[in-house]
Amino acid sequence: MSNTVKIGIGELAVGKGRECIKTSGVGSCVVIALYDPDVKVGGLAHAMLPTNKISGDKETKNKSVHLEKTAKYVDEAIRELILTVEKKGGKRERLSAKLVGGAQMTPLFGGLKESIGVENVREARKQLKAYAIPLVNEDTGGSIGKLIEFYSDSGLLKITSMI
Amino acid sequence: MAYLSEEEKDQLIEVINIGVGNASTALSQMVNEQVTLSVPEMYAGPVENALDFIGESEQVQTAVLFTVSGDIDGMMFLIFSSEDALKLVQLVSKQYNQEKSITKGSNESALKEIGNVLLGPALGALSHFLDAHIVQSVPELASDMLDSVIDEALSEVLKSSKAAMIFKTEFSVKSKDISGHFFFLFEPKATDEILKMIKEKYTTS
Repeated sequence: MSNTVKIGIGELAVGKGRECIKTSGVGSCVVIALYDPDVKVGGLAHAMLPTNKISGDKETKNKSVHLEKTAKYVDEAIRELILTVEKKGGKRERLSAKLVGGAQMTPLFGGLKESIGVENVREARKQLKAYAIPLVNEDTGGSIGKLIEFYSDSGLLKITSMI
Repeated sequence: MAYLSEEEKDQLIEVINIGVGNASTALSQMVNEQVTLSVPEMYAGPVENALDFIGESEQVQTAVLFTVSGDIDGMMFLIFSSEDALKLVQLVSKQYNQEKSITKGSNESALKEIGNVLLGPALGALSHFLDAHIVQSVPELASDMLDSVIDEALSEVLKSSKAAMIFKTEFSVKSKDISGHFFFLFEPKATDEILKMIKEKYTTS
């Protein structure tokens, strides 16, 4: 692939044509892929939590804002991903979505509550429904980490696990 | 939290040093070999940027994880390459040529127990030094790409805090070619709490 972009946790990227977007080590995080096949524009967002629930979120209002990544929360990540796809020539009504991740890596967190992964996937489905973007496929849940490659010339997602 | 003075950083690193010192003594006694420790390194910054500090993200590694609660909330991890984790288990249990996978039954529980034996005294030393009531969870084990193992822990932190403070110390059993890292992770609130406890300790004594 001519151009490979690697994104980390809390980041997103959109490619056009022969580009590859890669993100590794997806555990409880959810990765949302959006694709417009007509103009071959699409991308990935790698989100950590459903929504921002930190009350009195002072940090975003001061100078540390430049440290903020835009895709930490599922709701913000999907909104930003749609906007970025549109900037590159995609159309919201032609988009389709895929979801990967939302695993529970250890039972350490949450206890009897739902795992972060389950919450992330649920929020992603909810947001996609609200934007009327069809969810065409997903590989979510389980307890295995995944490495994801997205090809913007085909919209294909390649999912690799190490164990 | 990003505004810690050099003195405060030194104090925190010293407290962590007391903890890992006890962990390495426990390890040394367990394997009857000399254990070397590095000086703790500190990360203070946005939660989502912490992965690079923690380690080689795409490599499959084995982590024993604990949550810590009480007067101080946080997490402790013991992270190895899967080969070194297996070597350590074999060294401790002397069961050579047994299970070849670290995630198989008895090896898994042996490694969790090693985690307990190492990090239990570390936490005990911390709570004794700080005169704080701190309890640890049961150990959990995960073996996968490091960032997929750690993202759940970081997401858990992000629920209540945008920043995290992490201390990393490398330990090695040079004679057996085994090395790994101890990690202590605190939210800014817990870090403030620790600094307050240190201050109290030195003003009352």
